[in-house]
Amino acid sequence: MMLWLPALLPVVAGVFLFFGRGRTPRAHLLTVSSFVIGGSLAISIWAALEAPTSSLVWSDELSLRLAADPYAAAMSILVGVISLPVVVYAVDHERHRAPARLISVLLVFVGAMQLLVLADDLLTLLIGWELVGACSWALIAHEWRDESRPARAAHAYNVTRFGDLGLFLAAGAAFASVESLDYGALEQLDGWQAHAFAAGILLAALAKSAQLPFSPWLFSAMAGPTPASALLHSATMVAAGAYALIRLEPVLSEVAWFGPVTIAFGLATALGGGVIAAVHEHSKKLLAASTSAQYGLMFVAIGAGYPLAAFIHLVVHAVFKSQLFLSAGVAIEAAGSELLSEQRMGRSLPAMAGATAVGALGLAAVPPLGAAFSKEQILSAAVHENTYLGFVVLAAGLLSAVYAARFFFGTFGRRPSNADEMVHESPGPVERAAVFGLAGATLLLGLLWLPIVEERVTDWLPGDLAPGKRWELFASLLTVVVGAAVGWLLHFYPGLVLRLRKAGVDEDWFALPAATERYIVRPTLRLALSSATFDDQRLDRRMTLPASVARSASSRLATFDDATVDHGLMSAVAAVRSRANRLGQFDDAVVDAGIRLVAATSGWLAKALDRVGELLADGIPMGAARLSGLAAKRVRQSQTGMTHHYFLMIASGTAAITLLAIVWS
Amino acid sequence: MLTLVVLIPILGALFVGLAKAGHDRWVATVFAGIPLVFLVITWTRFDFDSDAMFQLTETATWIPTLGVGWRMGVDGISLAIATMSALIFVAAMVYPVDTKGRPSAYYAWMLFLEAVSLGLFLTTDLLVFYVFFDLSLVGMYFLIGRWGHGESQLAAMKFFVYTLAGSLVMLLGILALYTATDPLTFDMEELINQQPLAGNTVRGGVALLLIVLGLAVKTPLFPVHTWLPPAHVNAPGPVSAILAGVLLKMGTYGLIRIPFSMMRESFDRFALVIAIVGVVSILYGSLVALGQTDLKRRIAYTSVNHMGYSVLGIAAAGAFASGNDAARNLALTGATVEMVAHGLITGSLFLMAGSFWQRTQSYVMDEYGGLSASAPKLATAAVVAAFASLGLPGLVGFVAEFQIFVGVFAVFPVLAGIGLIGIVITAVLFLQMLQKIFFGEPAGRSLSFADLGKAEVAVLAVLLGLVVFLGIYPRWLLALIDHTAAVLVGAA
Repeated sequence: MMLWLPALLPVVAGVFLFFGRGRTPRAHLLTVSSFVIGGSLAISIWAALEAPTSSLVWSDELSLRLAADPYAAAMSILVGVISLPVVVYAVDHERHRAPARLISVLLVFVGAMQLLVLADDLLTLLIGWELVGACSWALIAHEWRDESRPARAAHAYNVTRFGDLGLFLAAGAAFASVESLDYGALEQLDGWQAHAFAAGILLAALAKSAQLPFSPWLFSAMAGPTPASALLHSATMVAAGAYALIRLEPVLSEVAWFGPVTIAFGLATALGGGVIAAVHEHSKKLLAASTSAQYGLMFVAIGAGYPLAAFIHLVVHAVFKSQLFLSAGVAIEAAGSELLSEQRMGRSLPAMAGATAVGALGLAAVPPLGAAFSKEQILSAAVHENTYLGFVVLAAGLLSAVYAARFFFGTFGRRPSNADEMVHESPGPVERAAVFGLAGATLLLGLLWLPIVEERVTDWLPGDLAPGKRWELFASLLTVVVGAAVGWLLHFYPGLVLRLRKAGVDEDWFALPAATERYIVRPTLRLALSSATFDDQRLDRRMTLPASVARSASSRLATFDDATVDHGLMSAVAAVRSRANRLGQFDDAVVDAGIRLVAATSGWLAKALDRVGELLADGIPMGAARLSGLAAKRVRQSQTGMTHHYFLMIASGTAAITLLAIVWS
Repeated sequence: MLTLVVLIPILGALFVGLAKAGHDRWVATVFAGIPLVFLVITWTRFDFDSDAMFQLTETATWIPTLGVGWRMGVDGISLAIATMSALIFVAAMVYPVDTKGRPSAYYAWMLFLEAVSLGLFLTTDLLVFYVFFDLSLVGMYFLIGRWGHGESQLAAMKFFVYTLAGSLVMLLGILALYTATDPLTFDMEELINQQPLAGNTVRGGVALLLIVLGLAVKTPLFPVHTWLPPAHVNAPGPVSAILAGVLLKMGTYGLIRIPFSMMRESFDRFALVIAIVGVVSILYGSLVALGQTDLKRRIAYTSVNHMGYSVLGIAAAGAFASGNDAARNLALTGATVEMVAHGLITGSLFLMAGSFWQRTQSYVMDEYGGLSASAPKLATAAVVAAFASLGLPGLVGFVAEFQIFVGVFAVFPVLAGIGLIGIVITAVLFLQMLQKIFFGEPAGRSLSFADLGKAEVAVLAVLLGLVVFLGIYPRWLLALIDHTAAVLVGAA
């Protein structure tokens, strides 16, 4: 049962906080959130040592299962380690923007991620997966008064939800094949279901990890508060895609096409995202594009069959990327602008600049930082697959040095003089502590280079690292140096960046958003509008066709009745009357009384017939016409009697039908 | 006790309608609440080890020569739906509404409708089922026609004529089924055991199509759903909640109860056709809903989408010849959970729509904006209900849709895949709705909008609380439904 707590604690605390958000002072926010995340972190560490499992039965067919598999436990610890400083930072950084609501959603977000991480079956995975997506919607839409933010939140959510369909597909395929959703049972998958399963998981992972062609949603996600971005890009949400692939890699790699296809998507994103980050002028969007690119590298390692290399990079990336986002937030607050060209706060905030430098060096993968170690492992994995693949990964590495340099010089570079440097809002102590803590963690991860640490990691986590070659290290060192130099150049000669953008290196995902808008979003909305019109005007009319046929038939019957039957009847009566009159004139004296009686009777008969005939011939068809035709005016005038009539008709109809059915049988 | 569940609201209707004692809303709530209590007690007395088809049966002979009787009884499916319906009725009574100066008549009709609705779910006699099926139209007709707004007379008439035509078609099918029994009987248990039309391909097929067509109108499925939007738009909020939450279930419940159980052979033959109609309804319903500018019409069309899921699940479960017992069981359980989920979720959404009308007399989404500022409680409830309706895990709609999808995938993988697209479209349409009404700078009708009152908050809290609870821990509900679904699916 304990194993549920890492997920349950933050979720429950978040829900309580949400409903009590009006009366929670900021100091309490800080205590509650650090206590809750700290507690759940402690349980994650315990889980890593004890490797417990737990399950919650829904029905005979469905249960939610958790297991502290090594990857799950390690990831769970990572989520706790990253979310603690980020949430604490948020209490301070977002103090003017409804902090209690933000913290409450952040806590639920973290809890949902823990559920996803500790899941041991596809149902639990899907629950965590979708909850994380919904929380990201709430986070991006946090400042809902600005209309554009909820719209972007919806964009991000809709794109990732499309990816979620992949998980539904995978679950369906698994159940159809092995009648179970447990990870443990997936080994027996085969046939077309195995292909459907792999395709589903890959689709979901590509969307969640912002790989091409889904990458643009991550730009929309920038509408959210900075701490939300810091979390979203590091240990939650985006991490979920790569994590799911790592966790399920033994099953997925059984499918022949899985490796090459995953490498292809990863590589495309690593290069595409790298180029965009290299020229972007918006500090947070630069980081966003770099996230896609870094996850692309992880996908390459997974596709090459080295999930462990990908996992180590995921951990290292989470630490420095969350810190870089927090740094970016500080720079934006201090400079009052989100543009790299208007920040450069290095002179006023030197300590912050130092911490940011550590993160940026990590992003550029400079030894002896841990990031360089994991980048090396990915390179080795790629080379092991194919030497040319290795060269492309090197090119992606070069790009990361370019954008890392641009990011650092842009945010915390030094201006020529501090005359024009004005700090709008300097970071508080909690914000500083969070950034420094994460920078310290990045430095600490440099220990990965020590063989003894590497050994402990490979013993603990399943999978191997690819054997490295010496030229790889030199080659990547060279690319880092070249890349950093290029980044420096781009920073100091902004004209170069402009020229690049003009040359078609665009910063908006190669017109992908425009194409999506044009070929998917607008046609869908148009289809929706036209089907709404169709439904209202055409379909409804067609469905009431029988009714209008009945109406016109009955009104024609009524006319026929008026004109022909009634007229005939009336003329017959008139004839009788006139003959009677003539008879009366002829023999007035004898049969006067009798004839008068006859005339009176036939007169009455005529009138009565007229009345009854009218009622029968006109009333019933017209009544039916009113009913079935929904002739609005008349219906409104006469609606109370209709039900009654109708039930008479039902009764007679029922009798007729019964008779028919009995005869038939 | 089950008879009392029907009788007490009837007595309540007479009392409220004739005694004119005042306090109609609360008297009606009490009368509506007693059946709910009784049904919860029934739930606790339900025997999960029994293999009887119906439990807690009550029988009285009525017209023995025709085989008609007053027969009551429950299985897991009917008990789950009846309990949910009773809850929706209580919620609808408590929820504030404009009764246009005639509260006693309004609440009397509501109680009448509750009696016939619960009777329909609890009876095990096919003719009594049919009678309740028709009587429900009468109650709804008056509620929409007399207490509705806008073109309510017209909408009520359209609803009445349309669904009555459907029910007559169904009657024809029922009689074709009935006349094949020997001795003649309307006893459902007998009908299920006898499978009267087994081996009679032509007549079985015709009877099945007639019954399914009749039920499809009520459900409603594409293309016989066009009575639904006007009926919803012009009905008062609580009446809409009942129309969507309870009356639509009669269609899908009938589908399980009659053709699925009593005509297995024919149902199996037409399962694919019915599944295709279900998938078309899923996609069409969600697309048309996305095309609406009117809040209530948008919610109304999502019903077509959701009931499409339910029908898809039933159809896949009814592909008896395909094997896949576990998957079909899952699909049928999911279809039933979808009915309960849709009742709770769409019921809440329509009640909220009623709150909009009470305050501003407008459902046009573009006339609102930034409503979160003036009505944060309503905003919270709407976000929860919207996400529940789009199938977010942790909320009961997901429990239904996940089971339906996984179950259907084993039987009709391609149809399941196509139906999945509906999940994305519902997400788009609900987020767009939230965005238009609740986000942005407060504007238009949002400016002087009073937040939810106490009664409204209480009702929505109960309904949405259940949505959350059943979404996290649906075990009791699933155990109840599974018990019956396993029998219905496996007994092929």
